[in-house]
Amino acid sequence: MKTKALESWERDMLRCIRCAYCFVDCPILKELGWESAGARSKVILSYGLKEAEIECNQLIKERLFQCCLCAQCEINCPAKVKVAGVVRAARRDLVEAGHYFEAHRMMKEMVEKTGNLYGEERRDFTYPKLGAEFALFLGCVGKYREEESLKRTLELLTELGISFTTVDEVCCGGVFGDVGLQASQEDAEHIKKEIKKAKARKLLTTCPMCYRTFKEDPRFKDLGIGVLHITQLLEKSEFPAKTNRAVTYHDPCDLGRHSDLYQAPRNVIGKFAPNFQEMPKNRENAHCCGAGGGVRGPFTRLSINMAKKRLQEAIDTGAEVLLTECASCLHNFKNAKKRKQKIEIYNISEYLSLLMDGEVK
Amino acid sequence: MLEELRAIVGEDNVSDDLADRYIYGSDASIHQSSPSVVVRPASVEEVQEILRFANREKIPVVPRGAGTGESGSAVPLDGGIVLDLKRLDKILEIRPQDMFCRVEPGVVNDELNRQLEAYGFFFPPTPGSGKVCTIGGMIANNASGMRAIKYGATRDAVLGLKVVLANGDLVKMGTSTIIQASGYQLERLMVGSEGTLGVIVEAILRLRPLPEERAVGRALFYQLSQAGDAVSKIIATGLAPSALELMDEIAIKSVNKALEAGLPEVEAAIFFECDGIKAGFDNEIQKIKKICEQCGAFDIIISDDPREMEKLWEVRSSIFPATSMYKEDRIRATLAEDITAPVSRLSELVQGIHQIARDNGILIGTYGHAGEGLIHSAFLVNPGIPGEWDRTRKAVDEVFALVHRLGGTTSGEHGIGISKAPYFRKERKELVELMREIKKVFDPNNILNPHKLMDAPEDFFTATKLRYPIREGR
Repeated sequence: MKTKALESWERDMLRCIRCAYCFVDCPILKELGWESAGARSKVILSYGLKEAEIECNQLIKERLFQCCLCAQCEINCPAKVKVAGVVRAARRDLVEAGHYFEAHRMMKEMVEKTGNLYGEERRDFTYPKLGAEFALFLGCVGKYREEESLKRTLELLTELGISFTTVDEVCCGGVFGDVGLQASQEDAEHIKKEIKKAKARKLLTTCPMCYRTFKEDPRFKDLGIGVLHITQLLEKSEFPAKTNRAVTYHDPCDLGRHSDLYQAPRNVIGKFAPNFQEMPKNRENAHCCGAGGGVRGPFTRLSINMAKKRLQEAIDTGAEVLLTECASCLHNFKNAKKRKQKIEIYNISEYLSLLMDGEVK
Repeated sequence: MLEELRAIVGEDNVSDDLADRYIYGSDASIHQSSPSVVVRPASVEEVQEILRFANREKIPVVPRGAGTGESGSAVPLDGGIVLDLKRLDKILEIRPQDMFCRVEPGVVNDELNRQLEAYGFFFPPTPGSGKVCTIGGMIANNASGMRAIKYGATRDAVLGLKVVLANGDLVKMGTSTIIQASGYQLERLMVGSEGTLGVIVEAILRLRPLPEERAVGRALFYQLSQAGDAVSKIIATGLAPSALELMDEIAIKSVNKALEAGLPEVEAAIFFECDGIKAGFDNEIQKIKKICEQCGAFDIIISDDPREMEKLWEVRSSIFPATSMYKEDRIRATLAEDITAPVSRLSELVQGIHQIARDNGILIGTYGHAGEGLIHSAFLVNPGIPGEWDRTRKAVDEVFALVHRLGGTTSGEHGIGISKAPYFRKERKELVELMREIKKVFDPNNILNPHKLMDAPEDFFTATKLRYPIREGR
């Protein structure tokens, strides 16, 4: 098997001192138990493939795709090995050699056909406004899996008098880089053209993955305007409602470890929910909800089991409400929640909108 | 073989897949050699059944904890079964009134200490890998760490063990008392036996009360020899620091690069710690400071502020990984990494290692638990340079010859495994046959981690495939 993408990661793979600190809090290893599922092992397997010491088989393929790319390992790595980068490169080489998962290929096909990851009929959330301050990018998961939550976010922005306009969206393609597939340049050009057309001052995203994609993906290097996540906007706003309920917050990996946005969401929560209970594992050590890295498609149960564990951590704080600001995390938590569990789960912006309308306490 | 093993531990806990064989064929050492099958038992009875089967069929069995060993002890040389013991991970009992706890081998060191903290006690060995390494692995390698100077190594904390022998029998060794009188203390023989005599399935560990307070100091030296002298004098004066660590210029530059630590790039720094009751150690730490000053130290910092202490120790604990970032084209190869000399010979050891590095045209950093005489020699190798491995190999020979000449030992805390076996045999040549006889008593069919320690191959460079590519030539 040719390993073109892994070639440029040789230094990271050799720098790994194999201390196994990355095993601490590796959510996949915790679920599966086998060392081969842990972060260090993904680096070793990748190196083995690059050196042609091993040939890809079904389990090697599974192990390399059983990773949420949550990057907890990178936080724990004393040698600063970019484990997620190595895994992404390995996936690229695997896919190139024909070792892909159908669930991922289907996502790509769906985006090509419909512009969104789920192949759903286009849903318009049209809030067009020429000369708006923010061009708002909503993202596939919110639009097609957490529509009610997203509508609330839009209502909140409207109620707060934020000047924004939606754009004609296609999938940002961020997930494809995570699963070894090539994101579409054509789609990127479309998005850039639409954003330009909006003549906004900044690009505002609700989805952390889209946020990261616009910030980091070379296809958007010439985006031409700054990118804000919604929590960065909301932390500068004031809200005419408060709750006394105990709330906790889950750091989405794309917002936290990948984008270093830990404080902004907490600042927002601090403005309306003084009874805030931090989970023991928070900020850069927050456990992953299991939704990222393309794990949810081919390994649904694994993904849900991780969400169940994280949800239990939220419940254990005594919080009545679990807040996050990521449609993927939200969706996974909702899928993991049992009926008997009383905790309520919302995006921060969604909860704020409900609170301001008196629909929640 | 697979059918029998599946019948014992269930289908989900046996794998002969290439992915698992490749992963369980490596640890934190330079070695790579795959087992035939990996088995993950969850009970003592399952371990017994596996060993009964393996002994009957004469299949090698290599016990494994977290795979953090740096000498290849957990890398199987003869295929066979790797016995992953991480599912045996229960803390069975904590008895502060009797100063011991009873644990299974898969319990992680730091996790045990987290649990013990609530009782006001701790398990003293502090290996750098504490957050992930298991008690079973620590016992098998007699791990220690920076606080061994005051609290001893793992061996000093093992009161009793339950061990599954090669034939599957379960035996209890030692006691659950703080002291015991004469009689062969076989539990002590098991410590450091690297899985060659039996499989540890339970341990009774002596606990120590957590010190009320501690203070940490750091002193810088323009010359390495001054730092070495300071360490020797601190020990000779009868002071009892709870840690006394040394780092050389390469180590300092490495942490500056990795952590932006901002240390002056002088030849050496020492870190020291005293613990106990503040009134007791204040005097001690001042005496250490004075000795450092007499030996030419400057910029001495002493702190008992928890955050400041954490910051100081972070520098020290980051050296191992930081050295892998010292130069872009260098990797940190774990070779001769825990040589140990009598403390009074420390200066000679460290300076001798630097001379060996110069003579062979390679880079070796030095740092370690100086108060114990232990030096981690950090071989920084560029595997892509033709002949680099040959020079490295020669330097390894010379470093071990030096430490033996100084009256030191091959391994202070990481174990012998594969990489240090030839030198271990040289050091203890009159004991090798006796050790072989002892192994025969415990393991007549030689199934337990065969070809390790005294029986490992003569040339460790060719004993297994190495994890790094080797470019031949000069």
